[in-house]
Amino acid sequence: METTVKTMYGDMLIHESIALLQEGRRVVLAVKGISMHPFILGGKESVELVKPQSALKVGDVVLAWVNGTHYVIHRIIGIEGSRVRLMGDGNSSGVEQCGVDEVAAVAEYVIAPNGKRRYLYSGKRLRFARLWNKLLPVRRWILAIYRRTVVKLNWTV
Amino acid sequence: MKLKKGFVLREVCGEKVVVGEGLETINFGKLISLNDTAALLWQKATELGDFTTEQLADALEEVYEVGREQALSDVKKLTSKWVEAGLVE
Repeated sequence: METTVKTMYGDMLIHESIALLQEGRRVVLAVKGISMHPFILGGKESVELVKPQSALKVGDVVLAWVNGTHYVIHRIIGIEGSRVRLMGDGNSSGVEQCGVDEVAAVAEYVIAPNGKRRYLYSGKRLRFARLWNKLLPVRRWILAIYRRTVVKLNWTV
Repeated sequence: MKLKKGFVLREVCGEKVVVGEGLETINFGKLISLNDTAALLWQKATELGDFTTEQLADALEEVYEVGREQALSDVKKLTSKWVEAGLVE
């Protein structure tokens, strides 16, 4: 009789999560990948999502269906009318686009493997996110150093 | 034994999984996947509230052609996995 602790990813789970978000529930989803370094450690941490409660803002970390092809959990870097531009904090290039109505949820908290929750929009993290945005031209090198050293200590913002 | 409060058996992506659920929040961050037999025993344990391995072995014998000894041994293995996963108290 199998009982296995596992982490699930993928579009089907996201669709189930979106249905629950629409009912007003909060949903915790595991994050994979390195595209939200140094704010979220994919493969180790999860995010707590809520249905967007108010107008989306630049700086929000959201779950969105982008470029008509896939879901991402990335940060909003621009909003023009009903179009939203997103980019992963851990990426140094590559901007995704979607409509406002394709943003399914806003990530409010990051949850570490030990269960500790970090609010993504504390004063300190918002300031760091703004600075991180300004560092885009040199982000590639900072990320390279981060991924070779600091990330091994599970350090995040 | 007793199943801890806040864990709910759901079908997610065609799999039976135990999910941590609060009043507001559903935690898909870490799921505990159960096969059909384990899910059946989970349901039985939920119905019983306080349960013993003997009661779950009874339930197993009712559904499957399995001897008493085997049923008890399987249930003990299963419940020790549940303890390990922090699902029972």
